[in-house]
Amino acid sequence: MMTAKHDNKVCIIGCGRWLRRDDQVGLFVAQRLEHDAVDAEIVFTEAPGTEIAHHLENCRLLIAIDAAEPDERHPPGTWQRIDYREESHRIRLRSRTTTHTMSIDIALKMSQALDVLPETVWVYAVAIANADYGEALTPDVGRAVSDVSEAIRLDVARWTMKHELSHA
Amino acid sequence: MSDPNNEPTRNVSIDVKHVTRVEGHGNISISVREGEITKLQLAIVESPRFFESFLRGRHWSEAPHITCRICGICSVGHTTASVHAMEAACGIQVTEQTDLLRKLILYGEELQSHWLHLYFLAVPDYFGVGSVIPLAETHPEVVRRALRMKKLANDICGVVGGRHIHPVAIHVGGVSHTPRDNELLGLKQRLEDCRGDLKEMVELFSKLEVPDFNRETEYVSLKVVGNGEYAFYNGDIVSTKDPSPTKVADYRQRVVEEVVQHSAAKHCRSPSSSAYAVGALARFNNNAEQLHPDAQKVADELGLKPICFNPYHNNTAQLVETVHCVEASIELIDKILTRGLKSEPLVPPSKYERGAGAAEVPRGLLFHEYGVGSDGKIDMANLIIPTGQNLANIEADMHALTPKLLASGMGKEEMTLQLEMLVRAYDPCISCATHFLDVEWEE
Repeated sequence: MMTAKHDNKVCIIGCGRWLRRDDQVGLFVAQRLEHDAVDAEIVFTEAPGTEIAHHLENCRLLIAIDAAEPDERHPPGTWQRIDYREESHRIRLRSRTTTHTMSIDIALKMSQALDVLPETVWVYAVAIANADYGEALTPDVGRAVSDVSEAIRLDVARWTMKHELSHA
Repeated sequence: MSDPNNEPTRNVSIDVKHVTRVEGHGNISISVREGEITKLQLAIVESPRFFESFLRGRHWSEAPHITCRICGICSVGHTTASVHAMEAACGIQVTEQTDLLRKLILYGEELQSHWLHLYFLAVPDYFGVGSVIPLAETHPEVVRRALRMKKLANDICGVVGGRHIHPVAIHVGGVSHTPRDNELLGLKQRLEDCRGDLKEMVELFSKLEVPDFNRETEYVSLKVVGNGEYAFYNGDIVSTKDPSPTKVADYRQRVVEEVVQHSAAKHCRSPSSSAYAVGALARFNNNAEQLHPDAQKVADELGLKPICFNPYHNNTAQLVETVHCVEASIELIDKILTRGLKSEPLVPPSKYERGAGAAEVPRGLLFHEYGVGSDGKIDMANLIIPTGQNLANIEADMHALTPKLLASGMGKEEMTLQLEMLVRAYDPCISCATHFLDVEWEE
């Protein structure tokens, strides 16, 4: 685990359930970034609701990757980056909070209420096809893992350079 | 509340789809016409998940790793009941070290589930807020404490089980991983530090007004006969109506499952009652004298005494149990460190036949039963989940509570809240969901 210079801590959180096919996509992207030694604290979580707040101390950039429900025009494998500070409305809060269902939307709202949310929060949402039991991602979602990982790697590099320059 | 003996005369329809802050989809439907309840159901509308079916044909060693996936909160509980059942079926006697580690991880799960339920699901009702998010705005210190305590409990499960949910180190016949001494010492220190947080939690709950509602029912749980341990990990089946112990192997003498039309989950009754309750309050009612003295003290402070027939006090019993689990975990870690940990091979099967196992998981008594064929493949599985055992009792509570609420002159909205609080007090787990972001896609 590495921390970026100048206390510009970057935290990348892969969300999902292992062995639930496409629901693992956030975890797979985080795995790829860990393998690529991206300069960030990388966290894998199956229960983001109560875990994320513990990783946000001194964090200035939070990246969360999670599976999303597709729609007609955004089929499985589609992905988008959501700037949570600017567009939090795009992540609709689930009306139901249970001991089992405290997902990233709840975690972000709760962190905001506790005033521990970093100044920059990007959520990478990946539309999925199948969350049944199983190890493999569906082909479209599997292909998205590389694209999303590469996009995050570049986004983190740009963000880090900008903030290092601002400290120079 | 006004005189509960008043004859209710109003016409009321309550239709809650779905009850919030419980796991899974359950609907409350109540119709009252001219003071008579014409319909009252807690309908379970989740689809069946067929775990019992797809266990068939799998190797005996796979049972705990498959069944722990039933639940993201009770995964240790399912693992525990599963290894107990499979070890009974395979004639396996595990070592003392295995039992100690399994007990510790089960305490961790009780803590994380109870704390999550109490802080995130129950407390918002009493503070009059809809969820934990407004609670974080109005009472940030409460939510921060909750997150801190939850993390400790998760870490206990992670250190022992290799993951904080769905443990990978617990197997039929033993464990495949032992914690390091410094990990256990770290947990012990944090558990000791947690006593301050627990004290504040008890103070918080002592100020909450628990609804005044009592209905006599049968409380069923495990009980350890003899050695004085509060039963989570093992024991015999007892109840407040029939305290004579029944071996888990004979669980069908105490639990009768029945299909009901309006529910995708079976209902359960006992030979003594048409409905019974399991869970923290059932354990407390049967085993209060076996709680750690500090937990007994907290029960006294909170006014909880056996036999308590107020289902809303299931929350109080959960809090009392967390005090017990913290102290029991500290003692257990001391014991483990004193005797020392060593690598042990898994104990192999000596036979293949039929076996039942049980554990007290956060929501109550959980049974697993397996049959194993001569080829070592599972040929029969029966799993009885705590929430399934509570459903008939929740409906019976609702039948008793509704006329009282009507007689009190309470409005429909308040009545609905009281009924939802009743359901939530049981901390039901109707299913385990995989959850996705609900995103507004940009064109």
